[in-house]
Amino acid sequence: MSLDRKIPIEERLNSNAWDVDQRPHIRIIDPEQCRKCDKKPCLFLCPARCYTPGPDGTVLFSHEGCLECGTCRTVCPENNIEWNYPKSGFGVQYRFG
Amino acid sequence: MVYLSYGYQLDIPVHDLIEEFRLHPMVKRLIKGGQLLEYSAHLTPVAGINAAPPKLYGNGYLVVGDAAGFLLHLGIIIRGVDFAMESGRLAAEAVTKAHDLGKYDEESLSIYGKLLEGSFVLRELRTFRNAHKVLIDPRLYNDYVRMINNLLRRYFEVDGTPRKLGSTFLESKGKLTLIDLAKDAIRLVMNL
Repeated sequence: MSLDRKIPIEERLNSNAWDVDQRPHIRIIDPEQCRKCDKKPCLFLCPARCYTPGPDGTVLFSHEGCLECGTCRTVCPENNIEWNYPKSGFGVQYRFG
Repeated sequence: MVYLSYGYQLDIPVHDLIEEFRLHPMVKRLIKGGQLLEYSAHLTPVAGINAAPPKLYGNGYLVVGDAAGFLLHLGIIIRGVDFAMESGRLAAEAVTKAHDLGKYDEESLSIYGKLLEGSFVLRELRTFRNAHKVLIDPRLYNDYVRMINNLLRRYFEVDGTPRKLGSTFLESKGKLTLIDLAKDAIRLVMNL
């Protein structure tokens, strides 16, 4: 993989080892709150781009690429994200610390 | 490193920002020939010992590393790995002692508190307990960097006009006022 160009986030996430739990460990409590939220810091601050703009001002999320940093839960101005670590043994598996 | 409290002011997402940082000529040459092995992210508290839980030990538990607030962000350096290692080592020592006593209640684990008191961890963290309050100011990383760059460029530029340090400085400071400079200097010296 050449490092001389910007590497798309999907490609960067692909370098990680995962064992994804089918049951999401992230939940948006009330999608209506996201529609009303004009800052949507989750879109800018999730390092894995798990949050993307959805139709009609909503926010879509995927838990599969989650790096388990917990930033989204902290920055959500409405406390609208329910976040728990994935079930033991699941999720991202950091091999280098 | 991104301070989340200023996250609202970002104009590009962090996952793009990191790539711009990586491709910056200064950084790029440092990692030349490298390989991408893993992509990770970590969230840490910045308030250091002020953000520590009220108790670092109790019945059946010890708190170490960043969970205990053992982090020190001194401007451009992020320190905490050494505190994590040392607090982990002291925790192990405390557990060994508790094991000898055969109980793991608050009283027998309180040795951890004493070990921490005698270690460099708490000494450092207490000395710099308010450092984050001055270092979180975005002026340090924007306006001052710009000022230093402007000042040096103008001062050393040979363009046929004489450059005196004082007037070049006043030209270079941009929107920073002398009052800002004086206030920030005092705040930095008081807390660092």
